[in-house]
Amino acid sequence: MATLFFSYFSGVIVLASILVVALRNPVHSALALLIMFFHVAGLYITLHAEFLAAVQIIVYAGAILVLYLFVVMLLNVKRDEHYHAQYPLGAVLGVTILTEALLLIVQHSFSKETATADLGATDGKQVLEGNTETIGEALYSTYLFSFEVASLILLVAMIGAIILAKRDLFEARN
Amino acid sequence: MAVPLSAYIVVSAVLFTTGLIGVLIRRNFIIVLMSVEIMLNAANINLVAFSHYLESMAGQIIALFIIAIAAGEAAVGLAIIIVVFRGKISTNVDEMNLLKW
Amino acid sequence: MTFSLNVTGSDLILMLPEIILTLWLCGILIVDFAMPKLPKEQLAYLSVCGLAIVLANLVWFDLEGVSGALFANMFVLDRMALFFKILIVGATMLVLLASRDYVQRFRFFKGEYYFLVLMSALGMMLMASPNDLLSMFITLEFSTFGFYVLVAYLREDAASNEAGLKFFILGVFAAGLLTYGISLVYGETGKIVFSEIAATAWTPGLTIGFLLIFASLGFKIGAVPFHSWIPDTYHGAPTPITAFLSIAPKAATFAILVRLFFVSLAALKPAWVLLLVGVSILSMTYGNIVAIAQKNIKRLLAYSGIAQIGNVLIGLAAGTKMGEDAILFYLLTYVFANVGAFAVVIAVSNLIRSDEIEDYSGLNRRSPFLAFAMLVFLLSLAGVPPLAGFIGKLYIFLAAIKEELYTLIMVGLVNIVISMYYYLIIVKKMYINEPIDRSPLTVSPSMQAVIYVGLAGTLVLGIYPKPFIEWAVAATLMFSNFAPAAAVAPVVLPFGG
Repeated sequence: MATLFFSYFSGVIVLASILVVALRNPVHSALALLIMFFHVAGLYITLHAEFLAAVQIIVYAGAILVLYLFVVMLLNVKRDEHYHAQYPLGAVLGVTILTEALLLIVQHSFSKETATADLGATDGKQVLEGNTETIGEALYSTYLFSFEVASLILLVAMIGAIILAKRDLFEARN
Repeated sequence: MAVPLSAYIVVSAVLFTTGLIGVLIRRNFIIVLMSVEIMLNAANINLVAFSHYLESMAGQIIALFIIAIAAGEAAVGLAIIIVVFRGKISTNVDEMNLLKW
Repeated sequence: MTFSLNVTGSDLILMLPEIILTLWLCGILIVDFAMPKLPKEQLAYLSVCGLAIVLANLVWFDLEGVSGALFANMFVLDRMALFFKILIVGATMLVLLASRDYVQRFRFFKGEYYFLVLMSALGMMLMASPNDLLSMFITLEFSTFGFYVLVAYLREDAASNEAGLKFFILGVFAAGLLTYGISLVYGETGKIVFSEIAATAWTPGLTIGFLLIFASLGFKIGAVPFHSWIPDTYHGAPTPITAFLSIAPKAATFAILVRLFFVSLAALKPAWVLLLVGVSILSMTYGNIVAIAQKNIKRLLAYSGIAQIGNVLIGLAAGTKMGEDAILFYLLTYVFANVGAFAVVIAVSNLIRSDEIEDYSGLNRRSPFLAFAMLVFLLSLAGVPPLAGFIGKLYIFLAAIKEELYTLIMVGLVNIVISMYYYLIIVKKMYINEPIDRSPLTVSPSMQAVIYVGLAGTLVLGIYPKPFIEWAVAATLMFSNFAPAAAVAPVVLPFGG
């Protein structure tokens, strides 16, 4: 059963990602990206990361993708007729990296022996995989520093986006 | 019946490569940005899979932060695209030639 | 369920400089918003005051020997972190003073400019401290976000827009590589703290992971295979931001590189020395050769910056404590010379609205002060005694000689000769060529202040470098024995806490 779910989700993910890169119309690419985000969330559920699956749908599909679609519609982007001249380079790089990654997996270097790692994250309490409480506790204790910095990042992004894109000031004062 | 870890790594590697090729071959900035999102998602799948198999929380936390950063990047990036578009009526990489490479 | 927050008030004192700066920059934003009538120059001085307080705080910590680690060893405050923080705060102060006049060119959002510069400075201060992959990623992105906006700040200027877009695309691409690299390293080791990664066995997956991380850090410092964004971004960005971009993020990234290579990868030195030697040779040669052909002074300084980063990488390639001291000292000399050179470029650009080298003809007749200052800064960048750049280069080459990297030193010496050529072309234009326009140029007081600080730093570091070298040597003491455990210094708090 798990294998069935995994095969379905991963198959759709790979197909949708190739469509994002290959389709010529940006709106179609954005929709393929949306399908990909939903199925990635499905993959998270097979890994018992329910909280992340929810965040994936709310943030990626709900916020980021809507932003993309909004900009595509706003700018009325025309169809992109040609690929960039760099695609031989892209193909060579891609095949190389993929081969390396697959070789790694063949060698089974990703062992499961290190399973005792990094339990310090939750102060030695039992790790409840994918549990929102566990994530919350880790986030507000061990990873508090990164959490605070992330809040500042969102502040910069917010103010930066306003500075760059606000149009009213131009027209009101001209 | 459990899915082996390496299966997730394969999906993630394929996804990462697709994103990388997308960044290199597409000329439309918005699709280049989408390709970067695919690369970030590949990293996230890796992290969550490792987190599950290593029974460690850190991977999921990193994935959470990557999603937050991706949201910020999308906001700033699309604002830059809007500014450029107002000036040039183009979102293609090749038509950017004011500054010589 | 109860939270176990392992942080007490006295621990937070370790983050005091960052906390002060955060409050201060939020204050700037509020003042800008609440008092629209306030002249924006006042905000520049207010920002510099805030940075001065932070600088005083950092110097106090450095003198007291305050050190320690917070948040499960993820945030480290040691003498090296303090060194880089002082460097970054100092550079930010100079850049803010230098941008006071330039800001008049922005039509809107003049106040937010200072906010964003301070925000980037805060990000880079945090970059000096992380001790794990997650904090490294977060702080790196934090400092870059401000720059994405600042580079595109001249909204009506197509060159600035284009620079912002190119910088952004390559920046997020680098972020993509970084996250995938982090995921591979985490998967192979199950750890994210630098010193714990060092203790695990080596596997091919780790190699790819670290190569991806190195590539993305290479983007940030602009080393050669990853340099393509540098010339365009430097050319199109507002000039004070170019000055900022050419120093502070590079210095902060070196703080991360030093921690990564010397703590996580100490056991693999033979492998990464080869990588760094290659990148260093490529950066120096490419930067210097392409710089010769440049007609725009900002592009010339961009390519010379690529070459200078090649020089700094020699110190990293040496891979010894001495090499690391040399990196710190070299970055210190580079701050003064490069900020100074850019300050002259900003002053000239404010007065004649041009960045073309041709327009520097006869600068000596129009403003002897600017021409002399530029001469000193360029000679320091080239490495002429008795200026700071000479000591910096000498120190780095000595560190490499001790490690017997003779090929690297030969290439480095040849490159000094090449760089001398294009620096002297500018000097010849300024002193020998006839000016096109003979009207004298007057420099504003804040620009003068920046240029005098740059001149003083370049001369003092060149003539009496001893205390500064001792400072750099003391800053890296904890790396002296290369034992992973030494990466985290014992907690020493002020007030005996």
